[in-house]
Amino acid sequence: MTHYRPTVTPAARVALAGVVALLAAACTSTTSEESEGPSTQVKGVPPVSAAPTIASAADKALPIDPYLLGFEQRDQLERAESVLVSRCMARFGIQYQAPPQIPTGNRPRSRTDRRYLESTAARAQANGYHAAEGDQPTAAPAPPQVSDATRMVLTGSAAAGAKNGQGGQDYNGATVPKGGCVGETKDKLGANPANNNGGDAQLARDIDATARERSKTDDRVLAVFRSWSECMKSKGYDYADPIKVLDDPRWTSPTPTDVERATAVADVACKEQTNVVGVWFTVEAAYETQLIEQNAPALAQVRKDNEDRLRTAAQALAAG
Amino acid sequence: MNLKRITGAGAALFAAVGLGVAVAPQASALDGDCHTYSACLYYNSSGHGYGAFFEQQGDISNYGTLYRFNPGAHGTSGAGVYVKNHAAYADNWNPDRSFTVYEFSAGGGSGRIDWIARYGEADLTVTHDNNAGAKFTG
Repeated sequence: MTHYRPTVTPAARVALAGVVALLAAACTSTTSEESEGPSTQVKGVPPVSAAPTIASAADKALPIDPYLLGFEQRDQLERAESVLVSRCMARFGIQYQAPPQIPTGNRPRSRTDRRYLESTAARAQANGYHAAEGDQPTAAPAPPQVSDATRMVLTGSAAAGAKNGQGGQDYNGATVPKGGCVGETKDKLGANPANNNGGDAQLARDIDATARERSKTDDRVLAVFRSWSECMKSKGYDYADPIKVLDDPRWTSPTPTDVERATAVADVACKEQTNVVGVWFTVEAAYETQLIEQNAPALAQVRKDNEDRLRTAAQALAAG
Repeated sequence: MNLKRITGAGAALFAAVGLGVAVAPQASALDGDCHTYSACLYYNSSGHGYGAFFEQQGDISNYGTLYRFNPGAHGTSGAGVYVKNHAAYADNWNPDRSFTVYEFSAGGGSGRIDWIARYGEADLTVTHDNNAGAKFTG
């Protein structure tokens, strides 16, 4: 939680201004909510208590997280997909093995890792706003070379320009399922249009996205962005907010320049000084909570569906 | 002014809230532009005809000003527009890899993460800053 110190340094003054703005906006929004009365629609500004002072939200969960597949759950589903596709292809006498899962490497370690554009002084000094060494954009790898027969069994159509073939072809004494082995696997693992063919439920994605967008225009977040901007200005950098700094065309150089690194270091310091991450996270979470409460029954079904899919995946993996 | 036709995540959600039912997904598989093992991004959402497309086979940390939408089988709307922050729909044709779209490019991918399953497809978040880069994952 935010700590108040008896002696307010210039640096802390900027942070304090952000906290005051946060609380003031929360009070205002509470009044606004009450005056509008209850509503079945999500609108208005959710009140929040004081934001925690944090430099990173990576270890914090957002309210919508239980309704979206976590990274480990995604990995489990994908491992099951690999197993089931291979098993299906084997019925047709075709050896097909999806390549091993990509090492997680620089993948955010949670949905809140780097979500608020947080970095560290060391990383900023080393990489600026660029990707860390070893996570540069890869050259486009050549797609796997598969025969028409393999493609037909895999997707239900031999044509590279058809995503989901009708299947029904006879091959090596077996009939290709609709959508091929990929389609069969998707069906087994509970993929459907509501979860975007094996991904996250659209409702959960919508809440995630909507809360995110509302947070970026929320007065409390905008206030802390202004505090950040003032902090940056005091260090000699002129940017309106922590998002716009990313669009500086100078950052498109192949490798980070000294100016970029220095800017990124100042950015990290100002984010920590003004508590951008804590405020943004808290406000976004409040919007999510509001939306979740409005959609509790449907989200309960989302959670159950995800549990069913993961159970099926676990069974597929257990069967080898 | 961007007159792009989109499926607003917020609008769809609020409509659903009002009715007390889940959002009816409009996403669907597309033919004509993408190819097996690629992923394609579209300028318009599924509810508005998809429009111009951009196909990628490898990771792109920052679309920047390097990539633009191309006219394709689902229209010309958005053709020539930068891919960065203008994609409304993602169609993953890779049966072996999921596809992760990042809100921001900083640090090799940051901000909100939009995960598209292997061989999945979905409308993306409708925002100004919604897709800075994307990588094949999983």
